[in-house]
Amino acid sequence: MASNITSYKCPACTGPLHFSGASGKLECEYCGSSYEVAMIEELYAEKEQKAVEAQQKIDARKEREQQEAAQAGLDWSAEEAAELKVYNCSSCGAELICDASTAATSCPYCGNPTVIPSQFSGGLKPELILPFKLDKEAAKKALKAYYKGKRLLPNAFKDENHIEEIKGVYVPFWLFDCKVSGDVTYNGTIEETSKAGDTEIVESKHYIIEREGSMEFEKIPIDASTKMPDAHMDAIEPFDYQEFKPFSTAYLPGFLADKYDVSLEESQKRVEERAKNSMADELEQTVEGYSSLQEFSNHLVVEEAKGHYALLPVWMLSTRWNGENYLFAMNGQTGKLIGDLPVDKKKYYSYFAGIALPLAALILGLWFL
Amino acid sequence: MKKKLFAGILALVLMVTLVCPVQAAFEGYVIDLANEFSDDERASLTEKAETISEQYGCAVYCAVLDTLDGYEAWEYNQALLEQLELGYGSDQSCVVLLVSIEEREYDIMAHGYGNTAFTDYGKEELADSFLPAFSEDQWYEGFEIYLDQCEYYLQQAAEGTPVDVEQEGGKSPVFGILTGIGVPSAVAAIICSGFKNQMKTANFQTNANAYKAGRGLVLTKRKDTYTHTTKEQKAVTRSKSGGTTVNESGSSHKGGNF
Repeated sequence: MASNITSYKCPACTGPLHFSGASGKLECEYCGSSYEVAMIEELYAEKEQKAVEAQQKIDARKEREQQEAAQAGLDWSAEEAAELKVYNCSSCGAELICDASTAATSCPYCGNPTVIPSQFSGGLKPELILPFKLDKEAAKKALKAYYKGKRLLPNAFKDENHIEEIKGVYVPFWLFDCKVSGDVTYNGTIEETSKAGDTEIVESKHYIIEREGSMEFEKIPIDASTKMPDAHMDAIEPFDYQEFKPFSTAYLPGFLADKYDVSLEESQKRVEERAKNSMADELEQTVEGYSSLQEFSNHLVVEEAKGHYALLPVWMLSTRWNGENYLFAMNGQTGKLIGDLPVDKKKYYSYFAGIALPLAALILGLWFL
Repeated sequence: MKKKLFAGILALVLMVTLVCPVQAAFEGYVIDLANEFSDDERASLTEKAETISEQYGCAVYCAVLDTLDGYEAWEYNQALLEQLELGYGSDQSCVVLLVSIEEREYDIMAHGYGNTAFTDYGKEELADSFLPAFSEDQWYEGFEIYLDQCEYYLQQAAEGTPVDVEQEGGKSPVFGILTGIGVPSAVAAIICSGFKNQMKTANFQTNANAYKAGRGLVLTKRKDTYTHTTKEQKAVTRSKSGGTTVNESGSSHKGGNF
């Protein structure tokens, strides 16, 4: 069998190893042994290199076959084929069909955690990884707590959605370092009001206010996966960068992982917008003492933008309810949880009536009695 | 400190220059320092003011000055109240209309129960009634209108419905129904939209404030340049909130020019 994927196995009992956020080690769920990441990395370094080479050969062969099939008009379209990759589970031998960006998954037949090292080879290798700190139980607990206090949540939703299907995903991010510089000009007025009889006199002194400067930013995260909604990934910020580790596939077993499919250049536009907004806010805060202020011109430029490729830990739950899809995301390090919940329209109107009717009775009573 | 000093000087000046002549010209409810009224006019106004004042337990005064001598009309009026101890009872219930002929300024001051009967809105309406006469230098006619209006205002107050914002046109049933439906609906919509917002927490980040590095903002230019001054005049809008606004001395004023 081509060793094109890697399953980290316990050196003691050959059971599958999972990375545990709580201990920061790889643990065997069968014999209970635990191993330092560095030790497993050393053991598997050669194996992973072989897996990368094997995958490259398979990819080349697959490409030839696809060309031949396409010429014969038998194969899937080029677009369809480009989105799929085929691997073999090293534990049970089942064929795993994944999309092109999948980098770590588990076998649907035997549950064996599987890492595809070729997805992180060469220039695709992330520089950094933030290991999961919170485990699945913590994520489930946080999700249950998140439901509390949501007055418009349908009662059936909590019971019917599949909380067990919560998944830990290493999401690819671009972390940008950049410097913003430039100037902003404002029109400002200082107003003084006086009264003469029934006339109010407003005297306005007008100013042109100029501010110029620069500001540096470090590791602004922009998610680099088209599968992840940008708003969800933005909303679970910030991550604690103190706990960054140099990337190693040894942190991946037990979780899903994707490689990036949004380029550095594509992500840069969002970074520039965020950095410029922050710079503009900072400059405006230096303008004080004016009754009114209006931005007149803005010439801010992003310089020296540099991206780092990193994997960040996110617990995800995608669930369907009444034909709609609801996605939750939790920062796998800090526990910050966000997501969209369904609204029970009956509850909404009940609350509306419960508030409006007694208030209407009170006001009308006071008015007419 | 400046305010206290000013009040002290004003009291002293009034004691020496004002109160003595005032006392001479002070016939019960009419203070005529400008000597504008004939004896008959003064007697007529005094009688009318006295009748109203005693009927409603709130003294109604008329005051006419040649000049304010650089003071504001309300300051002069306030000094009259304090120095001449105007008003009825311990709360000095009264209303005083002071007019200065030279500056063509007026001030209506209410105190004690006068604050209940003469609301901010009521004083504005009251001023509108006599100002046309003063504009024509018809001082006696203006004060007659003032006294007639005071009677009406005190009567309304005695019936428990002082002239105020809500008085205008009475309680409108249509407005009541609209308020009774609109306000509760708006309150319920605000609260329910708060509940609804809790259901959607995934929002885009629009800034990068959490990722500032180094010293933060390095400011290389900070320049504020004055260009010009503009002036805008606008009429003061009438009180819409109802009630009476009183100063630290417990008096309320409404003044202006005519």
